[in-house]
Amino acid sequence: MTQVEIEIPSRSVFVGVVRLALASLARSVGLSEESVDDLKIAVGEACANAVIAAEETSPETPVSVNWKQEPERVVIEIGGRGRPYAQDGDGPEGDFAARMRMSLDLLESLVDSCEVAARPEGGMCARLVINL
Amino acid sequence: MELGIDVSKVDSHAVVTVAGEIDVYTAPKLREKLIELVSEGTYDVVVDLEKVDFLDSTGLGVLVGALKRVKAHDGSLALVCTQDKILKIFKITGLTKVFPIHSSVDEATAG
Repeated sequence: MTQVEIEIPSRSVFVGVVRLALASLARSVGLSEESVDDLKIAVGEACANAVIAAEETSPETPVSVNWKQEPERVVIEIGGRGRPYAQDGDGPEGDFAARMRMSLDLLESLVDSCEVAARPEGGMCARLVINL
Repeated sequence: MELGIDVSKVDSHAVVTVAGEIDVYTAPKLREKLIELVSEGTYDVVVDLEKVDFLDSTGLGVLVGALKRVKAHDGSLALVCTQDKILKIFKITGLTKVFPIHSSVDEATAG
Protein backbone atom coordinates (compact mmCIF):
# COMPACT_ATOMS: atom_id res chain seq x y z
CA MET A 1 0.00 0.00 0.00
CA THR A 2 1.28 3.45 -0.93
CA GLN A 3 0.18 6.37 1.17
CA VAL A 4 0.63 10.09 0.55
CA GLU A 5 -0.47 12.80 2.96
CA ILE A 6 -0.83 16.47 2.13
CA GLU A 7 -1.91 19.28 4.41
CA ILE A 8 -2.97 22.69 3.18
CA PRO A 9 -4.06 25.83 4.99
CA SER A 10 -7.85 26.35 4.84
CA ARG A 11 -7.58 28.89 2.04
CA SER A 12 -9.05 28.58 -1.42
CA VAL A 13 -5.81 29.40 -3.22
CA PHE A 14 -4.39 26.02 -2.15
CA VAL A 15 -7.23 23.87 -3.52
CA GLY A 16 -5.66 23.92 -6.98
CA VAL A 17 -2.41 22.58 -5.54
CA VAL A 18 -4.23 19.51 -4.19
CA ARG A 19 -5.99 18.95 -7.53
CA LEU A 20 -2.70 18.98 -9.40
CA ALA A 21 -0.92 16.74 -6.90
CA LEU A 22 -3.69 14.15 -6.88
CA ALA A 23 -4.04 14.23 -10.67
CA SER A 24 -0.37 13.37 -10.83
CA LEU A 25 -0.81 10.51 -8.35
CA ALA A 26 -3.83 9.26 -10.32
CA ARG A 27 -1.80 9.13 -13.55
CA SER A 28 0.93 7.22 -11.70
CA VAL A 29 -1.51 4.39 -10.98
CA GLY A 30 -2.63 4.24 -14.61
CA LEU A 31 -6.00 5.99 -14.53
CA SER A 32 -7.23 7.20 -17.94
CA GLU A 33 -7.22 10.93 -18.65
CA GLU A 34 -11.03 10.95 -18.40
CA SER A 35 -10.85 9.33 -14.97
CA VAL A 36 -8.12 11.78 -13.95
CA ASP A 37 -10.42 14.67 -14.95
CA ASP A 38 -13.25 13.16 -12.88
CA LEU A 39 -10.95 12.70 -9.92
CA LYS A 40 -9.72 16.30 -10.17
CA ILE A 41 -13.29 17.58 -9.98
CA ALA A 42 -14.24 15.29 -7.08
CA VAL A 43 -11.08 16.09 -5.10
CA GLY A 44 -11.50 19.81 -5.84
CA GLU A 45 -15.08 19.72 -4.59
CA ALA A 46 -14.25 17.87 -1.37
CA CYS A 47 -11.32 20.20 -0.73
CA ALA A 48 -13.34 23.33 -1.50
CA ASN A 49 -16.10 22.14 0.83
CA ALA A 50 -13.58 21.70 3.64
CA VAL A 51 -12.01 25.11 2.99
CA ILE A 52 -15.34 26.95 2.74
CA ALA A 53 -16.60 25.26 5.91
CA ALA A 54 -13.47 26.35 7.78
CA GLU A 55 -13.13 29.87 6.40
CA GLU A 56 -15.53 31.45 8.90
CA THR A 57 -14.93 29.38 11.99
CA SER A 58 -11.42 27.99 11.92
CA PRO A 59 -9.29 29.36 9.07
CA GLU A 60 -6.11 28.55 10.99
CA THR A 61 -6.74 24.80 10.96
CA PRO A 62 -5.43 22.79 8.02
CA VAL A 63 -7.28 20.62 5.54
CA SER A 64 -5.77 17.17 5.36
CA VAL A 65 -5.68 15.02 2.26
CA ASN A 66 -4.78 11.37 2.51
CA TRP A 67 -4.19 9.24 -0.59
CA LYS A 68 -4.08 5.48 -0.02
CA GLN A 69 -3.34 3.20 -2.92
CA GLU A 70 -4.50 -0.36 -2.34
CA PRO A 71 -4.20 -3.29 -4.77
CA GLU A 72 -7.62 -2.78 -6.34
CA ARG A 73 -8.64 0.72 -5.38
CA VAL A 74 -7.57 4.17 -4.27
CA VAL A 75 -9.09 5.71 -1.15
CA ILE A 76 -8.84 9.49 -0.71
CA GLU A 77 -9.84 11.08 2.58
CA ILE A 78 -10.22 14.85 2.75
CA GLY A 79 -10.89 16.27 6.18
CA GLY A 80 -11.25 19.69 7.70
CA ARG A 81 -12.21 21.18 11.03
CA GLY A 82 -14.87 23.57 9.75
CA ARG A 83 -18.58 23.59 10.47
CA PRO A 84 -20.66 20.63 9.28
CA TYR A 85 -21.42 21.35 5.66
CA ALA A 86 -24.37 19.14 4.83
CA GLN A 87 -26.64 21.87 6.09
CA ASP A 88 -28.58 24.78 4.69
CA GLY A 89 -26.49 27.81 4.04
CA ASP A 90 -27.40 31.41 4.43
CA GLY A 91 -25.03 33.24 2.10
CA PRO A 92 -26.22 35.71 -0.54
CA GLU A 93 -29.10 34.15 -2.50
CA GLY A 94 -28.68 30.95 -0.51
CA ASP A 95 -25.41 30.43 -2.36
CA PHE A 96 -23.95 28.09 0.24
CA ALA A 97 -26.83 25.61 0.07
CA ALA A 98 -27.13 25.75 -3.72
CA ARG A 99 -23.40 25.28 -4.25
CA MET A 100 -23.33 22.44 -1.73
CA ARG A 101 -26.11 20.56 -3.51
CA MET A 102 -24.23 20.81 -6.81
CA SER A 103 -20.99 19.84 -5.11
CA LEU A 104 -22.49 16.71 -3.56
CA ASP A 105 -24.09 15.79 -6.92
CA LEU A 106 -20.66 15.98 -8.53
CA LEU A 107 -18.97 14.00 -5.75
CA GLU A 108 -21.54 11.22 -5.91
CA SER A 109 -21.36 11.00 -9.70
CA LEU A 110 -17.63 11.17 -10.36
CA VAL A 111 -16.14 8.57 -8.04
CA ASP A 112 -17.11 4.95 -7.37
CA SER A 113 -18.08 5.75 -3.80
CA CYS A 114 -18.30 8.89 -1.71
CA GLU A 115 -19.18 9.22 1.94
CA VAL A 116 -19.27 12.51 3.80
CA ALA A 117 -19.44 12.29 7.56
CA ALA A 118 -18.69 14.21 10.73
CA ARG A 119 -15.33 13.38 12.31
CA PRO A 120 -15.19 12.40 15.99
CA GLU A 121 -12.57 15.09 16.57
CA GLY A 122 -14.72 17.77 14.92
CA GLY A 123 -15.22 18.91 11.36
CA MET A 124 -16.08 16.78 8.38
CA CYS A 125 -14.38 14.15 6.26
CA ALA A 126 -15.13 13.13 2.69
CA ARG A 127 -14.02 9.61 1.77
CA LEU A 128 -13.72 8.97 -1.95
CA VAL A 129 -13.07 5.54 -3.43
CA ILE A 130 -11.88 4.92 -6.99
CA ASN A 131 -11.75 1.32 -8.13
CA LEU A 132 -8.72 0.41 -10.25
CA MET B 1 -3.52 30.14 -11.11
CA GLU B 2 -4.93 32.85 -13.33
CA LEU B 3 -8.39 33.33 -14.73
CA GLY B 4 -8.55 35.36 -17.91
CA ILE B 5 -11.73 37.35 -18.52
CA ASP B 6 -12.34 39.40 -21.68
CA VAL B 7 -15.54 41.22 -22.48
CA SER B 8 -16.60 42.22 -25.99
CA LYS B 9 -19.82 43.46 -27.50
CA VAL B 10 -21.67 41.54 -30.21
CA ASP B 11 -24.84 43.38 -31.20
CA SER B 12 -26.77 43.83 -27.96
CA HIS B 13 -24.89 41.06 -26.14
CA ALA B 14 -21.89 41.21 -23.88
CA VAL B 15 -19.68 38.24 -24.66
CA VAL B 16 -17.59 37.23 -21.67
CA THR B 17 -14.71 35.00 -22.74
CA VAL B 18 -13.23 33.08 -19.84
CA ALA B 19 -9.90 31.26 -19.96
CA GLY B 20 -8.30 29.04 -17.33
CA GLU B 21 -9.67 27.33 -14.24
CA ILE B 22 -12.91 28.51 -12.61
CA ASP B 23 -12.78 27.22 -9.06
CA VAL B 24 -13.35 28.24 -5.46
CA TYR B 25 -10.34 30.59 -5.66
CA THR B 26 -10.91 32.24 -9.04
CA ALA B 27 -14.73 32.26 -9.25
CA PRO B 28 -15.11 35.50 -7.23
CA LYS B 29 -13.29 37.34 -10.05
CA LEU B 30 -15.87 36.11 -12.56
CA ARG B 31 -18.71 36.93 -10.16
CA GLU B 32 -17.46 40.52 -9.84
CA LYS B 33 -17.24 40.96 -13.61
CA LEU B 34 -20.75 39.61 -14.18
CA ILE B 35 -22.20 41.79 -11.41
CA GLU B 36 -20.40 44.79 -12.93
CA LEU B 37 -21.94 44.12 -16.36
CA VAL B 38 -25.46 43.90 -14.94
CA SER B 39 -24.97 47.03 -12.84
CA GLU B 40 -23.90 48.85 -16.03
CA GLY B 41 -27.18 47.87 -17.67
CA THR B 42 -26.05 44.87 -19.72
CA TYR B 43 -28.74 42.23 -19.40
CA ASP B 44 -28.01 39.95 -22.36
CA VAL B 45 -24.85 38.05 -21.62
CA VAL B 46 -23.02 35.19 -23.32
CA VAL B 47 -20.32 33.40 -21.34
CA ASP B 48 -17.86 31.61 -23.61
CA LEU B 49 -16.36 28.63 -21.77
CA GLU B 50 -14.37 27.19 -24.68
CA LYS B 51 -11.02 28.12 -23.11
CA VAL B 52 -11.96 26.92 -19.64
CA ASP B 53 -9.93 23.91 -18.46
CA PHE B 54 -11.72 23.33 -15.18
CA LEU B 55 -15.05 24.28 -13.63
CA ASP B 56 -16.29 23.47 -10.14
CA SER B 57 -19.52 24.00 -8.18
CA THR B 58 -18.41 27.47 -7.08
CA GLY B 59 -18.12 28.48 -10.74
CA LEU B 60 -21.53 26.95 -11.44
CA GLY B 61 -22.92 28.95 -8.52
CA VAL B 62 -21.54 32.16 -10.03
CA LEU B 63 -23.20 31.41 -13.38
CA VAL B 64 -26.52 30.59 -11.68
CA GLY B 65 -26.28 33.83 -9.67
CA ALA B 66 -25.63 35.83 -12.85
CA LEU B 67 -28.58 34.14 -14.57
CA LYS B 68 -30.85 35.23 -11.72
CA ARG B 69 -29.57 38.79 -11.97
CA VAL B 70 -30.14 39.15 -15.73
CA LYS B 71 -33.53 37.46 -15.53
CA ALA B 72 -34.59 40.03 -12.93
CA HIS B 73 -34.18 42.55 -15.79
CA ASP B 74 -35.84 40.30 -18.40
CA GLY B 75 -32.39 39.54 -19.79
CA SER B 76 -30.66 36.34 -20.82
CA LEU B 77 -27.52 34.39 -20.07
CA ALA B 78 -26.32 31.83 -22.59
CA LEU B 79 -23.22 29.67 -22.53
CA VAL B 80 -20.85 28.57 -25.27
CA CYS B 81 -19.37 25.16 -24.56
CA THR B 82 -18.46 22.13 -26.67
CA GLN B 83 -15.94 20.47 -24.35
CA ASP B 84 -17.20 17.14 -23.08
CA LYS B 85 -15.47 17.42 -19.72
CA ILE B 86 -17.15 20.78 -18.99
CA LEU B 87 -20.55 19.77 -20.45
CA LYS B 88 -20.47 16.74 -18.17
CA ILE B 89 -20.49 19.03 -15.11
CA PHE B 90 -23.60 20.83 -16.35
CA LYS B 91 -25.29 17.50 -17.07
CA ILE B 92 -24.56 15.99 -13.65
CA THR B 93 -25.91 19.05 -11.85
CA GLY B 94 -29.00 19.32 -14.05
CA LEU B 95 -27.98 22.75 -15.34
CA THR B 96 -28.30 21.81 -19.02
CA LYS B 97 -32.01 22.45 -18.41
CA VAL B 98 -31.31 25.85 -16.90
CA PHE B 99 -28.82 27.39 -19.34
CA PRO B 100 -29.06 27.60 -23.11
CA ILE B 101 -25.76 26.00 -24.19
CA HIS B 102 -24.49 26.78 -27.69
CA SER B 103 -21.60 25.53 -29.80
CA SER B 104 -20.39 28.97 -30.92
CA VAL B 105 -20.60 32.64 -29.98
CA ASP B 106 -22.34 33.34 -33.32
CA GLU B 107 -25.04 30.83 -32.47
CA ALA B 108 -25.42 32.19 -28.93
CA THR B 109 -25.80 35.79 -30.06
CA ALA B 110 -28.09 34.99 -33.00
CA GLY B 111 -31.25 34.73 -30.92
